[in-house]
Amino acid sequence: MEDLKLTKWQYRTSIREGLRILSLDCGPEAKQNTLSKQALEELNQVLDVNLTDHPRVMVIRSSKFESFCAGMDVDEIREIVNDPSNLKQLLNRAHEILMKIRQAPYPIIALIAGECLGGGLELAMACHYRFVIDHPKTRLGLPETQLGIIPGFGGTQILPRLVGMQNAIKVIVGGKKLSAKEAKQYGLADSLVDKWEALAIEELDFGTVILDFFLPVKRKVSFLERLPFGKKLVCSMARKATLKATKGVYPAPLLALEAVCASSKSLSRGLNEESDLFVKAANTPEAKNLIDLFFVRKDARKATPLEAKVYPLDVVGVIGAGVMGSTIAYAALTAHNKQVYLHDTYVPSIHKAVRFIEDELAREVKKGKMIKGVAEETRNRLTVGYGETFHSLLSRCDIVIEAIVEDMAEKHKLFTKLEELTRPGAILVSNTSSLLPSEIASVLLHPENFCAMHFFNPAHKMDLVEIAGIKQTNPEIIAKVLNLTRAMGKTPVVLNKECVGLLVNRVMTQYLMQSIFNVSYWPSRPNLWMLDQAFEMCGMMMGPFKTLDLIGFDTGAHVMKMMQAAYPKSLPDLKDFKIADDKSTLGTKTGKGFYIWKNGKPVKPNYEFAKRLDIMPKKKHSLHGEIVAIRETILSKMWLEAMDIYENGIASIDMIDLSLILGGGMMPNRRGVIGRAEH
Amino acid sequence: MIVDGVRTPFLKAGTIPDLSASEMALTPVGELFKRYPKLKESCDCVVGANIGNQVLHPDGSNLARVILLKAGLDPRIPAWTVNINCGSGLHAVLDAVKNVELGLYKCILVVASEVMSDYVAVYNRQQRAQFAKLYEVSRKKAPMWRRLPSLMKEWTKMKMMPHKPEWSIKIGLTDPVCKLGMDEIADQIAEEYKISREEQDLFALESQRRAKAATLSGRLKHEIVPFRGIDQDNGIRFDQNLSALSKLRPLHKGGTVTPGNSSQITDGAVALMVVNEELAKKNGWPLLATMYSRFSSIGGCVPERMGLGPVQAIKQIFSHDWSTLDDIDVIETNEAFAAVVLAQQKEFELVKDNFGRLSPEKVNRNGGAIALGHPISASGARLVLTCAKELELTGATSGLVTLCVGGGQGVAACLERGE
Repeated sequence: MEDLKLTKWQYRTSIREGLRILSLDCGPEAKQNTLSKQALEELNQVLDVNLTDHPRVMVIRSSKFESFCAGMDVDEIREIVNDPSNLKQLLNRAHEILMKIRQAPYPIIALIAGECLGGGLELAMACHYRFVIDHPKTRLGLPETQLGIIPGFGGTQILPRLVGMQNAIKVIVGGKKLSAKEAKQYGLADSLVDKWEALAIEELDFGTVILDFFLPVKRKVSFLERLPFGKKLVCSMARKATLKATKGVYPAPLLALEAVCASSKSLSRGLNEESDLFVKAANTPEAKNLIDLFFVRKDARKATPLEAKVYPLDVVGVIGAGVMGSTIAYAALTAHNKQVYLHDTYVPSIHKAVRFIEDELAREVKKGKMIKGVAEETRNRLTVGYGETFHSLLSRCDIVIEAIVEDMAEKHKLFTKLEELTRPGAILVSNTSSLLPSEIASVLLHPENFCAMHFFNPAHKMDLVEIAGIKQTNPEIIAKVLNLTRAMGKTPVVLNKECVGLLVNRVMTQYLMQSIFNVSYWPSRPNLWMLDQAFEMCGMMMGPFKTLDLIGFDTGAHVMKMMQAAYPKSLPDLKDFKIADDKSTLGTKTGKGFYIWKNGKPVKPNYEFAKRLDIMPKKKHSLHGEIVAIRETILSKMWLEAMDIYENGIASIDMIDLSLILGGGMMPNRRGVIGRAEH
Repeated sequence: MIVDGVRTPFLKAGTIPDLSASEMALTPVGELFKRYPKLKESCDCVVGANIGNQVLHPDGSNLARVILLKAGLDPRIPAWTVNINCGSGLHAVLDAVKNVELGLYKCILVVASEVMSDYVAVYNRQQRAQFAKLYEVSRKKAPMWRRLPSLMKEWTKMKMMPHKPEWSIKIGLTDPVCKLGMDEIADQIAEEYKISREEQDLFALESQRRAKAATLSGRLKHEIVPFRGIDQDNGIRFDQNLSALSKLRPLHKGGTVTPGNSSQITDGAVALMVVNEELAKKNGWPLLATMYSRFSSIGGCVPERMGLGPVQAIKQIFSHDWSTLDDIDVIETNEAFAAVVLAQQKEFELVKDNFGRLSPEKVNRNGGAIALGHPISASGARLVLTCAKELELTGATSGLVTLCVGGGQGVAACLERGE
């Protein structure tokens, strides 16, 4: 044991006889533990040494409480995706090492605390027993499909054996992350231990209690899977559901599903098939693009324009408690230790916002993602105010985020008032999308404290925040706002220059307006619902008309009008297209738009509305080529708009693509609007 | 001139069965005797406040006197009980202040006690007439065989009549003149001032949250003496949330007032010492707060707008003074209904008379009757106590206590920090 030289692991003997503890430790500078090639090789060494001098029990754990292991090193994944020649060899080696764990003559226990994802979970699954620490931060999952690849260290084979095929599909294909309680429920965790028990486990005398712990665990198998053709049925059902969800755009979930289906074969054949499928997935362009994006996003999160020490913003004011305002307030509350003041003139919106925040917190508690005490403490940090007069807390705010209606006069009125009421030096930001930030700031006496900070709806779920300073903005302000964004757990994209609509809304408006324009002026009146589908088939999260329904026609028309006024050259003129005339047809808000909506899902096309707008297709099915041609026309217009942003020096190509993907769901599989055209 | 005060925890009606008002009052009185041993010999008057408990034994018809005797004070000193509905507690304090100012008495014990779970049920006039007839017949001086038929007749009539009693709590909470329940009045006021259900619920939530914070931080411990093993107010809903509040059904169809945004039915007792300044100094007692009768007022309004009485009362105080509500640091107002307090705030905001505003940040910093409960007569004294303690704890200088009074009145009084 002494001659082992380990860099990624710590291997030691406990005070108790026969218990050895192997803890993964990637060093203090790494926030998360990762399972690199080297770590695997070192694990192999340990297992080899143990063959001759084996302990009674070995515990595999992490030296970090927050992270058991976040999976394979993404840098290494990128390497193998870029050069997939000796991939098969690598996978076989990993299988070999993990097999050594399975076949060890002594029990090996994984003690899981914090995040246990991807390769980490596969390592844990190779162990004989998994003890999971019951903590809200504990997460078990196999998120490989989000990077366009599939689990490669036997995850697709072992998980179905542990929790049954249906649950395994949820985790592997659906990307579900299990909390500690869910893991126990599924049968993935053999035992739940609390934090203090986990600390004490090292002192536990396994010699005496060993029998109690290591009784064979009974696996629950659902009724369906016990039927003769049950597993096949489960697979075919899951395949249909996956195809519907991904629209065939992403190959990885389907490949992962195939691998899961192979788990009914013997382990060695299953593993072999899994590695074949892994190679297949790694060779797809989607995998390359998604991994690329992962790094772009990581860079965006890291970027700091200012090296100087930046003080955190502790008191956050949010003015306007609509959907945007309340979700921003919620996102700010969940950031560590921020006092939030939410204000609205109308009582009902405040009421709705408080209900939303309280319900959302209660849901988090119910899901096991938050402790009740933390939820209560979070709620205590929220102060609300309504009416014409502001609460005195406003004068203590470090930053005030405005999220009121998109109306220049209203904004001017508010910002004049805010500047009077806030303390000197407080940052004022506007969550505007379709107004020019510097015009909003024209009423301010101190425009150096102003910038635009654009969230996306719903702000607590959408990852992106666009930040744009105006000419006078102090760079320190941008740095502070950046810090706040990061504290809220969002990805900031900083624009070099301001422009109307910032990044996403410019391209998004182009997308929507061009779609309407093309559908209404193309002589054959192409089928707009087919166009929606065509866009979704190419990787857009949502077709243009579905998006319009979701935005709501009143808001949409307002934004389009303002954007058209700002960019008369590039955006088409849709003056005679009266979309928001009928108040009963405003999109999802009223349940009717281009689609009929029920329970938040589009049920069927709304022909009536199309007829009224005179865009009803002449034929039931338009030609596929025609639809594709229109789609490409629109995409090229969007590309032009994005390139215009780039050429004006507003943002780099990577940042434009990243924000379009995070903010608009635009073709992550093809690496965004510009990336797609380039590759 | 207020030296000190203490109260029992406010208990939801029914927490302790078979409770009497005098018994509840003796706990804080005893605590004051313990804290100030000289009080027993110095005390020369007792002013009580109670509304509905002076019917049954052991509370009798003058609660203050009962308390005086039970507490073992000198039987030669006077004791009286005041009643001006919800304002009784504050009025009792003011009564004592006036008497001390006049120099009639030097050390007055103010005891406000209300046990709403002990309210009686009564027979109405027709029922009572029937009982009286039966009594009359049974007392006739005649041989039994001659009395028997009429006795049987009246007895049968008595047995046949409906025995449904009237609940005095219901009688008390209904205005005898305009025949409207207090909740109906609150509904009307909410409608008049366009106070939505949402606003009332938000206010109620804030009250609960503030009371919770004050309880958990131990702020309310300063004014509470444990009573039968209970040491904190038990009406506070610790896990109140807005969804739960908005799901409640309104008390009246189409109305906005719900059990969630109105005060609770509660038992509680408060005792305060109102003492001449020189005497306090001589006895070495501290001075918690000072009140002057000239900075107090009782205002009236029509009974249908019961909740706006405080507006009139506050205006009367500040009309012959240069200061305004904005100069006051701590405001304690009785949250009979959320609608009522919000209407008072709106009234001061809308009418620009330079009386200042009832700023939500100053009003009821430690929660109010929606969370703690509203034992009718004890509330006024509790507000004085809470306000005085808040002044002491925060170091603020001036406070204001006000209550709306059923029947269309309002009582208000200013406080100053003692030393």
